[in-house]
Amino acid sequence: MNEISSKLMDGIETQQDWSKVLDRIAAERDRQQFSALYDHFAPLLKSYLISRGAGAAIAEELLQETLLQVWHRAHQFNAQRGNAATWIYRVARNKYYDYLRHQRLADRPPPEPELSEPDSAPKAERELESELDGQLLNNTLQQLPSRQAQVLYMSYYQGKSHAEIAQSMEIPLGSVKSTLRLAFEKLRSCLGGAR
Amino acid sequence: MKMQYHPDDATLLGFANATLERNFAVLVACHLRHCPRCRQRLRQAEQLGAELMQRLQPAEVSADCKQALFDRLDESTKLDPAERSATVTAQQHEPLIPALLQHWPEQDFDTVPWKRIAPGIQQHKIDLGSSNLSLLRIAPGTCMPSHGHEGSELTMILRGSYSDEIGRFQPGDVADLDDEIEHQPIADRDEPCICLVATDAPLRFNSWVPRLMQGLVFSFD
Repeated sequence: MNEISSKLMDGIETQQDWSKVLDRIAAERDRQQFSALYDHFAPLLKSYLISRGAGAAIAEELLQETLLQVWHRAHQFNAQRGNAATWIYRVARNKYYDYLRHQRLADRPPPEPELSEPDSAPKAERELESELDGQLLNNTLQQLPSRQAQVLYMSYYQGKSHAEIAQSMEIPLGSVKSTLRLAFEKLRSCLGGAR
Repeated sequence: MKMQYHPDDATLLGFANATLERNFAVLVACHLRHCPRCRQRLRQAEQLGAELMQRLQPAEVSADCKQALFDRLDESTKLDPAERSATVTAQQHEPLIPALLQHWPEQDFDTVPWKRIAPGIQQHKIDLGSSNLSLLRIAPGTCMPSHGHEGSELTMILRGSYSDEIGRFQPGDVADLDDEIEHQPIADRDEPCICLVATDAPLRFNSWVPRLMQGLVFSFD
């Protein structure tokens, strides 16, 4: 077990189709569906926000802001353009960026939405975006060499810049980047739309 | 636009999880606008972020958090954000890419108020607050001083081309350099080379003359 896999849950629970849930929330303003979505995502969002550096109270406020936006903008979600979890992740990431910038703690902007939108490719190709082999991803994550797992952890979960990772691991900046590149190369093949 | 050199995957990952400083993020966004290959990778990096988030150990959420959220479901989205929350406001984002670079392939850079900083080299600093982004206009055939980097340097070509130890960089191409690389770009001879340069640490010049330039080109004022 390396550092990252010890942080992971054992396996991943049965994948609910959150895209369908979002569709029903959009179409029917279905609070029961939203409640299920909250029960699944709120503890994960809180965990994510705390690992990025938010205190518990701020994390709860930000997760509320995130899920409130999900509720109000569910109609903007398009399952053909990616999966629901990625959409929710982007909202949370952007809320945390807003918070850091508002507090003048950091100015590290996320991509604008149009950069994350798939290009006008044929439908079959676009659907690949949401395809993912979860089991393969688990296995690949658990088999990552510990340095790759650690750099990935610091980048995604702790939100450290490459320079901050280099400083805290006491390795050259170039090694941080090559280590991240190697990890991504392995993980990319488990993600939808990989080429 | 056929691009041969792209930002490092590590840089795209940094953009996807919002850990790039604004100057790097702006430059990468300028490249991504015109690069389907990197947009695809960015989406994968975001998907990876979502997958990693779902593999975190869930945190315990206080009982009244859910009730507080449900109490707010009926509130109008048009309500003044400041009234909703004192800590977090839903801010109106200005566009990430500044107006001067929004349409960079067609932009007329002749009207930019260039400042001459060395023979054959002009600079225009783009104000991004705390981070450093500059346009450089390098006369045809001009040889930049050989230099390394204390931190990262991202350079994107907007017009013309330059060549260095790595290759020949043309419009849209990005040189993604770290502290292990030294290079000496030479602007190609046919036209001036205009490029966008983001750095997070002073450049490291290899001779004393360019050291004089250091403060001029990439000062952190």
